Amino acid sequence: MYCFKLLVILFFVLIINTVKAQCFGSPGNPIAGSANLGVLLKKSYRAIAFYKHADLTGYKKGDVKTPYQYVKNANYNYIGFNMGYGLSHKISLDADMGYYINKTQKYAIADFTHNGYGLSNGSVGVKYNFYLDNVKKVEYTAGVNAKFPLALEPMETDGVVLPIDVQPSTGNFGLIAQSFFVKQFPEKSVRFIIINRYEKNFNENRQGYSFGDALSSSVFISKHLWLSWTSLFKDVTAILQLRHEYRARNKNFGTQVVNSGSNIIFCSPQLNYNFNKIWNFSAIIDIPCYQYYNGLQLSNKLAFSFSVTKDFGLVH
Amino acid sequence: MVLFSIVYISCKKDNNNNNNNQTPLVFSELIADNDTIIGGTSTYVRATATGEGLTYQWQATAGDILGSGAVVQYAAPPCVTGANQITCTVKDSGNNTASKTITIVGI
Repeated sequence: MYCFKLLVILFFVLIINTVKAQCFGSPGNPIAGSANLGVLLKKSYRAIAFYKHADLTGYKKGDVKTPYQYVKNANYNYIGFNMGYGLSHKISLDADMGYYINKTQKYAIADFTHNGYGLSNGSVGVKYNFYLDNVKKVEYTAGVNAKFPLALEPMETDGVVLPIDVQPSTGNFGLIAQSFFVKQFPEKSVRFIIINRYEKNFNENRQGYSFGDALSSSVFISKHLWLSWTSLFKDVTAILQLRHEYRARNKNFGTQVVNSGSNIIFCSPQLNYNFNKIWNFSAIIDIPCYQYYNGLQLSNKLAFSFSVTKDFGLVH
Repeated sequence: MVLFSIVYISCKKDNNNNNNNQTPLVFSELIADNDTIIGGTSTYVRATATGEGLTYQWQATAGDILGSGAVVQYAAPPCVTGANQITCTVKDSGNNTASKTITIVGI
């Protein structure tokens, strides 16, 4: 059960940060990832650090590529941190934050590049395990987080307030609700997981911008790569994730931004390696399989992430 | 002590004279080459100001400011239509500021 919790948690770390939005499809500054959806063991701690790189290039209108050029390409590098604590066998607390190493936008209409960087958003929250059946191997957990920006003033460089798309923080306060369902098939070393997440922003930031509501739903199938004829992969798990992300339109000074909001489906293969039952290393690639954008927006290309997890205070 | 006081007063008086001689900040004009632009294009915006040690700060209610200094480009991405305000704030070495705002319509 312990290894199972670790594994499932890592999936979610790598989901949240890919919720994207906007006029050019750049990330809407999601938080670093609330990793402890499955509750932690009582009085144990978990620390997670992860890194993500994503590229965006090429415009789409709806789901059709267009030759339109405004921003030539964009990319970001992001690091996130999460801490969790098992308050009881049913309740866990967690907190997370993120930092953009860069959010870069290179223009096609002029030889110019905007580059933002800095603290992103944070959140604090609680998770509750509503249902656990160790015989049927079924678990259901839900939680809620309060989200807050780690910077309120928009960033400026050389006297220019950066565009909203490269601001490191959304500047929006909000709430995140999430649920987590797991069904294990231990005889096959297979797990089936569904994770849902809803994010709502409440206010306009100091640039008058409010990011639209976001809903993501993910289905995971994981397989522990234990082979009878070799111990080489005994601590490795392969995962395939299918994820749908919906983003409502943003608002600028109360008016809907027409070319914002999207529906994207990602296929994300992932590998996890568990070391000594307290360390977990994970790598994931996000492949956008289908993208639909409201109006004309810069589209997502590949993204990849790495994460490291460490548990503390566990009794083996 | 008397000599020091005389020197001190003279120097202070000189400093006051220098401050009074500082060119006052005057922000005379903020103008765009085009008041209406098609989404996905840009236009130059020029701030004309006089003073000492001038710095320029730019912001827009929507769209992108490219460049820095007294002349920048304002670019309207496809998601930006309608009237957008571009504000320039000029500051001199005496921390005096002056601002102007213009409107550029994206279509």
